[in-house]
Amino acid sequence: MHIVYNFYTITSLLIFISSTLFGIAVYSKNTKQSLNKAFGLFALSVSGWSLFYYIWQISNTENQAFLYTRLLMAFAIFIPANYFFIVLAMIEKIREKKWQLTLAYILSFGFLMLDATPLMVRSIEPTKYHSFWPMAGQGFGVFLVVWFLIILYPTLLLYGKIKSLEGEKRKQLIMIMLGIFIAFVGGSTNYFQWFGIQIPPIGNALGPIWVVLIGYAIIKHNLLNIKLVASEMALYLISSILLVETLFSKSLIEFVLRGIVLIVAIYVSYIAIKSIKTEHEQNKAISRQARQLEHDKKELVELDRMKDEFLQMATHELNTPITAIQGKLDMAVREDLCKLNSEQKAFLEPILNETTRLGHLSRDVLNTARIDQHRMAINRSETDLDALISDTINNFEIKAKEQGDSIAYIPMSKSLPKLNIDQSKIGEVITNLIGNAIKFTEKGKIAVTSRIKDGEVIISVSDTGVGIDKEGQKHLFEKFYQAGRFDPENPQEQQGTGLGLYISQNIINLHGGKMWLESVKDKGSSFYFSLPLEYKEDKAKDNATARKPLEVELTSGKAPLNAETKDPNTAKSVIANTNQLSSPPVENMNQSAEKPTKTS
Amino acid sequence: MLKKILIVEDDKSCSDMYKMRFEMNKWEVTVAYSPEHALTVLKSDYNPDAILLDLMFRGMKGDEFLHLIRKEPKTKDTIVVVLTAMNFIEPTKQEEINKEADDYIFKISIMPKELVERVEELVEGKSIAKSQPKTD
Repeated sequence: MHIVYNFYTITSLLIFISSTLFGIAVYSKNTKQSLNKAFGLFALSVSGWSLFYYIWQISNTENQAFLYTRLLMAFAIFIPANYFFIVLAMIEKIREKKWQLTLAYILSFGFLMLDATPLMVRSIEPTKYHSFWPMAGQGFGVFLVVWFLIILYPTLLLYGKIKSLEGEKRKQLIMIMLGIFIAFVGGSTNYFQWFGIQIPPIGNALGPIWVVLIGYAIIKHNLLNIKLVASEMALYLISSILLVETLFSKSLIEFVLRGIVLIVAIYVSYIAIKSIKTEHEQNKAISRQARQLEHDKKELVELDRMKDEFLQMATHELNTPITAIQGKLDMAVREDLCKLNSEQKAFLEPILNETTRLGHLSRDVLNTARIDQHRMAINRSETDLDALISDTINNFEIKAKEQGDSIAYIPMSKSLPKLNIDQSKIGEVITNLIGNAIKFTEKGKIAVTSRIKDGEVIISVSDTGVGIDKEGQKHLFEKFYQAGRFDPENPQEQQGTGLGLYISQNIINLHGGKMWLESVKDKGSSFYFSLPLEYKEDKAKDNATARKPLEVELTSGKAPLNAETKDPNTAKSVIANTNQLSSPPVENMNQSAEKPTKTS
Repeated sequence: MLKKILIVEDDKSCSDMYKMRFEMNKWEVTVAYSPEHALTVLKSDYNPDAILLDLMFRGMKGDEFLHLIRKEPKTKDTIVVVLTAMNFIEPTKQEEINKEADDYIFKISIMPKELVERVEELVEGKSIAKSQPKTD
């Protein structure tokens, strides 16, 4: 017998080394578990088969080859039954299928008996590729069929189980299925020559992969990571090849050199695998965190929805009684119920005003909450801004006269193009600015102008009123800030919520525009806001995304259908538009009976 | 013949007020305190000229009711004015309401008198549109 260094010897040796190593590793990991026992047996059968395969390959005589092929078969016979055992352990059906398993072993022992007769291996003959190759006896065909069936049955069981599973266990079983497939493709190449067909057993090279995959699936099923498995297998294969090369060294120097290469290769691979493992662990941690984040996000969205629901309820519950009180008082003051004398009227009117103020307060506070949560919705529709301004001015005419103010709209020479804006909200902004101008101007002038500059419409509301000092200007757009708040001489100016400008500025910002002011103390103020002429949906969406991470769709800018006539608060539908931001309450009552007339 | 209005409103204080104001303008008023109740009323021979509809109810919501009656031949063209005490509605819901209602008004921003006038305007507008078939 002499050492032959060729494809068959190397592959069989690799299979022997891998199955022995994995067999010991898996079995020693838990000697009591039937799965580990089954794998131990399985590895033993593969080891024995491959060892004698190797020895047979290096046989010098026909007799030697005959003996070793018989010994080889003695182990190979048990491979299917042991595989059956593994599968049953894996899918936890050993008890249920114990008769089938027993039958598989009985049949295997039967074939073992047969192996001692010429029915299995008839003779040894040379083939195209081998000097000594076993020829199939009369019983070998039957053996092969049974052998195949014993593999097929558990494979079908395994397939059925995989279909019903999810997660790690599924991956584990898929890995085993893959192993079997590879083994079959590889192993089947062994049998052609038995029947005189001249195809060499090249598939043997795939042998170790089968063992490794199954072993791996058992030990590390919770660590299944293709990259890791692939790297470890590569390390294992390279090391095994180098080990075989080292063992087959022709001189001591070669042995030493190859040994060094082997050690270096193992060391380098070890480092590489360690880093992959670390990476894998990190990835696992990241995906855990991602799952947690996903979960948290869902909770946040739910919380957000609840908050929204609460706000809606709060608005509804606050506004409903206010509506009833305000409406009934309005009916009383208008003498819908009965005639009132001047004293009664003078008594009821302030109550109506205060109620209306309460309504504004409720709306402003809820609007502010909405802005602060980045949930202010902009419902865009084609709007005639000239008409909106004129209507709003009309609503204030009586109030302005009472204060001795003149109020006028000075539009551009040609009318403004229609803008795609939230008519009701821009109406609120204009109302708020004009309301403030009247509030802080006595016997003066209020002018509203419009112009177009750099693709924007710029609206200004100027007054000749008290003006705002530099310090006040700094804080004017802040929440709850009220100009003149600390002025004891002007206590009446402190009426309002201090939210009007804050809300207005936010509405303008949500439209992609800006709001600013110019003011000189005691001379008057000019408030300006700009609105882009062209409404670009994408830009608005980006804007919306930045503002509202949880509810992007709210400001997607879809204009409501027929919004011009159906939008609440439009001049047409809400007569006299009492829905005004921080506007003084008086005009509502006085003007609510008036119908707005469109001036354009 | 008196014009008929169905007020669907669960707040008695509000519905009483609207009822009173509509009656002052010679309307025949029927009040339903829930959309379910309103559906029963509409199943009879009763055929209102207008429906005043609140949105927020304990059971069926106003927008669901609106959606249902718009499928019925009898009420598919009836003037419906949606009244709401809510400052904001989901945009998708808002769009639906805009499609199906003739007007949509914040309760708090309209006084009873103006509300009646608004409904009258819509009902008259509809009858004018009916008597003058579209030429375009």
